[in-house]
Amino acid sequence: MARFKPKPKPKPRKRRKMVRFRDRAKCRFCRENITYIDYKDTQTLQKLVTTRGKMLSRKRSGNCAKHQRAAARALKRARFLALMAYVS
Amino acid sequence: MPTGKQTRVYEAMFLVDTRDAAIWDDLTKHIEGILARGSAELVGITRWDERKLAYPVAKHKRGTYVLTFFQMSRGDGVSGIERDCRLSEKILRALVLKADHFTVADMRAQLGEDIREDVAKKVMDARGEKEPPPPEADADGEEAAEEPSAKEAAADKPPDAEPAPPKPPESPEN
Repeated sequence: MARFKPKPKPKPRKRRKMVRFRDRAKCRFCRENITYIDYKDTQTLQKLVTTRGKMLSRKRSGNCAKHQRAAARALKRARFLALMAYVS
Repeated sequence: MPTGKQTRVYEAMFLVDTRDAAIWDDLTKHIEGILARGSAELVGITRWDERKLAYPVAKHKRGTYVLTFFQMSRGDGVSGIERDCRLSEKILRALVLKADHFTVADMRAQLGEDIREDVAKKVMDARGEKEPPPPEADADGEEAAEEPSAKEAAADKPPDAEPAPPKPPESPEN
């Protein structure tokens, strides 16, 4: 009696495109060779915060340590001048 | 005025009440006075933006941002300027930062026409910066001038072909 059906062979996994990895290999500021993150550039800073105004972690923003520190500095300056919210 | 000593360029952003910013000459005089008391030499002052504040500051929901660049002797310090800003009734917030990373071209981009060319030249001389080459801008201008003429030339040709399409729709109606 054939009680146990033979398991179907697993489909071969599709290979992910390497371009995607290469794109994310560097942080967004490293990719564009940005050395200074300006506190006046609120459009860029908005991308680095949540809807509540809290700063994204490095894991979520993809920033390198150097640019994460620079972004944090810029964000704090922008918050002081009421360009960005502390909390919302 | 900075003479002899090593100078440094600073960037200062002032947040002021929109009503005070409406009387622009008075406000600039006020800010220039504060900077002059701190023996600073103004590179430029401009109205950066007028916008809704992210949170109310001294019960103001809107504010005008005034951006300035100034140079000062290294020993003088910015603490005097910051103290004067805190005491000022017109200035709601002030942020003074070192602007050594900004070239004169960057400052010109931010200040626009409000830059003081004589002071900007002094800064450039002190830093050993060179002026951006103007011939390239002229060359671009020439190219830009040439492009429309080419487009015009191209635009001149199509009209012969263009009148033809409207005719077919007329024929089915008839």
